[in-house]
Amino acid sequence: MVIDVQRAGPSTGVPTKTEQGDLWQMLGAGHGDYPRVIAAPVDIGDCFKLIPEMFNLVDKFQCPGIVLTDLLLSEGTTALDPEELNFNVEIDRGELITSAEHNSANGYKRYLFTESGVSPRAIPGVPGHIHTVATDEHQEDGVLISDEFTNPIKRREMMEKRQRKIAGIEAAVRTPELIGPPDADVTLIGWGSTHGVIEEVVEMLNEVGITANHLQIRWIVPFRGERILEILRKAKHTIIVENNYSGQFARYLRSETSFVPDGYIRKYDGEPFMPHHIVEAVKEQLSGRTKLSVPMHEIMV
Amino acid sequence: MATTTHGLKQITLPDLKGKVDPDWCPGCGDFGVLAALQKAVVELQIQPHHIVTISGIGCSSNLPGYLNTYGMHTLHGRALAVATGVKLANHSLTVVVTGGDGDGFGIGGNHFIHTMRRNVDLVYLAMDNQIYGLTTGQVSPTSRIGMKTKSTPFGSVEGPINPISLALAAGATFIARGFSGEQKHLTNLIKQAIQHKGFAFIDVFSPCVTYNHDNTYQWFKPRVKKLEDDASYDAGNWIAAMEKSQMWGEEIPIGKFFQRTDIPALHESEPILDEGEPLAHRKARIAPAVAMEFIAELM
Repeated sequence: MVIDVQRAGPSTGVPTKTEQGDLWQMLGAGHGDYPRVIAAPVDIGDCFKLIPEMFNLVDKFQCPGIVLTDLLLSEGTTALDPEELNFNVEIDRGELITSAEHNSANGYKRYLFTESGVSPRAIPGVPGHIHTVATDEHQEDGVLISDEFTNPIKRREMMEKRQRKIAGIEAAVRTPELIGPPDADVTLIGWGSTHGVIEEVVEMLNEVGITANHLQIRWIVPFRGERILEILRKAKHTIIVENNYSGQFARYLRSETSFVPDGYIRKYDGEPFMPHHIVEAVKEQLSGRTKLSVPMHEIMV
Repeated sequence: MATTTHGLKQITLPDLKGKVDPDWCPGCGDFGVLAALQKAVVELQIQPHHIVTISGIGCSSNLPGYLNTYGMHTLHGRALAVATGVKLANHSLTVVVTGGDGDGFGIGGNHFIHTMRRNVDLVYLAMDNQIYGLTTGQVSPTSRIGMKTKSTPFGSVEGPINPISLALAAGATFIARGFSGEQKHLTNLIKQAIQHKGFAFIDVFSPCVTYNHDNTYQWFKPRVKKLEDDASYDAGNWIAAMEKSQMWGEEIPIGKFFQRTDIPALHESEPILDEGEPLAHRKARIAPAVAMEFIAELM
């Protein structure tokens, strides 16, 4: 499991300030084409909940998991009901072999072809399950097929075995849900740490007579494109709110669903959004003045 | 006569044979290192499933696949980092790390230094052939000045690393040099390294017969002199070891340069590992009292 706390780049950038600028870095981290899980926690309490959830997923599906958070959450503070902090979470390490009860007398195959794509994993020290874990491509028993013994048929089978995990991962995570009335004037789409500010914006818009609803994306991969599209097709006016320059999430949403929203609100000055920034931007976009708003952060001395 | 050791099957050389035969070039020094490692394990009668052999990338890093122990063939230069994790997760296992000079001193140079500083209880066998062999012969961190390779057609202009001096400076607690052409001597060094509690490093001259025409068996044979043959040499003397480590040329010392046993290994100093089973077999849970304490701190 990798935790990426996004800060304002490039390079060291503005290292004490926040940004949502690493999305595509995480989507493409590592070479090769393999399953991974990426989630963006929506608030500080959610960081606490997500970690055990992610540990269970990466153990169960034997693939990397990335927690894509940012400085707003990692160095922020919040008030939480202690009841929300569950220290006795379920731990599910998946198909793990820790003793020789499952003895298969050396017929054990670490990378056994299974329907789920997940092969039971023996930990070192268990009699009868000796194997070599390989980062090179390998056969079911761990023997390499990367150099002298390259085998295109086996390679294809191994690729397909790994990719079969995706179906299981998709079934294991919650689908995104729309918060608020479905027939609202405006739908605000955010991901990760912008949840709190958008929630407040919805209330403020309601007060001035603009009805709003809210779609916050927590699971980046697996991305439930069909469900998201189903929600967004019914929306009257969609705006993506994100803390970066180029609209990384807007691009990702389009790549996964072909969906193009009505407008964008972005900010890349190192500071998070404040509610009035988004409220003003929504007003100017609903009046048709612009499709892209970049609120100016007030300098406070 | 006895067929069992401590109630377990007696280990013989065939028990340690891997699923496939090595694809090293005929005459490669790595054959000798693999054989010496297998002999050391047989002589110490360690059950193969109690050993984890971990490597990076390179010709020599293919070794775990040729040996019937638990194995991990990891990323280039990262074997020591993975091995540290394995040892801390289950300190009852014997963890052996294998790799080459490029993998260990070049790409993995930083891990090498810090694993020694931490005195992680590992055996690290660096098969040092003074060249990048798998990639067909480029200059490595131990290639001599002036050495002509594919990447240094006019001769290398960079000075080589001295792995023994580096290990002494970084705080390794067992430091030796072996030679693939000296089987009995190497087997004995590996046995001592496995029995040592702490980081045991053996730099093994393992000639690359295909791409290194400078440092051949014929070049090493007349030069290597065993430290053990000098009765006055004291492997407990760090300064003497540092002096010996500087010798290169007509005479190159092999053998145990240095050992100290007064420093605890990392897993012995880690408070979490003080009591109970190795981590891998524990049901890790945060005790309710600890959770309450944490919440109280935030209130």
